[in-house]
Amino acid sequence: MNDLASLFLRAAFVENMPLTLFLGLCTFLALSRRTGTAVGLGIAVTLVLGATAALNQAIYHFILAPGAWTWAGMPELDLSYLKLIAFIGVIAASVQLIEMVLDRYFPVIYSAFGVFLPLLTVHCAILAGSLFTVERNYDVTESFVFGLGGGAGFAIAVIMLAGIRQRLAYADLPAGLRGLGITFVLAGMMSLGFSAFAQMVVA
Amino acid sequence: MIRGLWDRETVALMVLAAMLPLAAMWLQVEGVDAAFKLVFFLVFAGIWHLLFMLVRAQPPSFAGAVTALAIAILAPEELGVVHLLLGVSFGVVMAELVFGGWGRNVLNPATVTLAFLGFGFPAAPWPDLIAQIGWAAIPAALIGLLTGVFAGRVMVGALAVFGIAHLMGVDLSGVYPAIAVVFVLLVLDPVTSAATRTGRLLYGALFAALVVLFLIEWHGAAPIQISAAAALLASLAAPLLDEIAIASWLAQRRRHLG
Repeated sequence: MNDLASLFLRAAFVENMPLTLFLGLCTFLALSRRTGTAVGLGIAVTLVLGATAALNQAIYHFILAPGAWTWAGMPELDLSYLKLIAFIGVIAASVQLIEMVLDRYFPVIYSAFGVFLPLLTVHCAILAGSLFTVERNYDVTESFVFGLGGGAGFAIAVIMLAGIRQRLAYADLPAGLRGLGITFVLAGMMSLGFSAFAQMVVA
Repeated sequence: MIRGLWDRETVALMVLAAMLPLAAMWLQVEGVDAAFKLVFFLVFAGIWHLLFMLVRAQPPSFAGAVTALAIAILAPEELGVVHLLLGVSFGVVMAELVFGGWGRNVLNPATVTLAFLGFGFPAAPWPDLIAQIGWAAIPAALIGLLTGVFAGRVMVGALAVFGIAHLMGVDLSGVYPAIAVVFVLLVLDPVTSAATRTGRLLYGALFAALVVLFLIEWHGAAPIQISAAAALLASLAAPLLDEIAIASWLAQRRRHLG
């Protein structure tokens, strides 16, 4: 239990997807203009990342990993070269599935998410989450917690950036820095702040 | 006077006045060297303010003196002139002046400078503040509170969390001066702290919680480095805390009024 909690915190703060690993920056920068959309994006990323990290880990472990087919008499079979294609397929399919379920049973949430859900199909932080779980040999529960933690870290970062960007309404920026320019500067400063977490020792 | 008495520079002067006990105590302890350092940073920050006034017609502010004082007290001394100048330029220009000057910035320039120096030069020898300077932070905070430029709620939030941490057995005695000085110089800054009532309580509490977390988990960091990192993270979260406060207030009103 304690291990899972520290894994969650590690994924959320020490290895923050956008601010420490610089993954998923496109949505991080593009959809942080208002806090409302940032909250929607954060929830969507957390859900999809948690679900797909666990699912992909299970698929890798039981189907693709070298030696996964030993029980069927094929111990040499190594399908791990299919991992990228399989992971992207699974992410696209689960995003589609979540979208359909939401559309049918929770239309309010579905319309609130709007464009974000389909966007997550090509979100690099989500693919990276799956690849990390394989690289580090997490089991399925750990992958799920890691995915949720990574998603929560992304959500916190993007909502914080949205809060700051809304306050920029009071700023008087030089023409060249307006919009994306100052957002990069702010993201850099946030990264500077989060680097403090990276220097902590989380067992 | 068209704008009345309470314009930006009045507030900046009030903040500066609140810093006087701290500055006086620091100068008395550190002596002539300290005065030298202060003048050096004052001149350098002043040059940047002047440059932005000439290029962008941005009025310079007395708040630049507060920044210079904070950096002079807290920055690692033996880092070398070039590194210090680099850090100060980054902080003053990228965190304050490009936003349109003091009052429009999101982050405190001194906080960013210290975080930059701490990140860029991790082996830097951070100054060791003695207890007297820490005690001088109390009259500074009180003056700010009385003149109305420092928010009491930020202090309440921070003190509550530090009190809980103390009761739970976290040893704050050795790091108290650094935390107190950073709190007064950087965290209480009226521009970059939260602006709503609930937001201010949360902001002070967040700073204190981060300091306690770093004290426990971040081994081998100087107290000033810990406090500056916590101050940076707290002021990054301040706009969000305000948003949370406003959203909860709106929800409350909606519940009451139907």
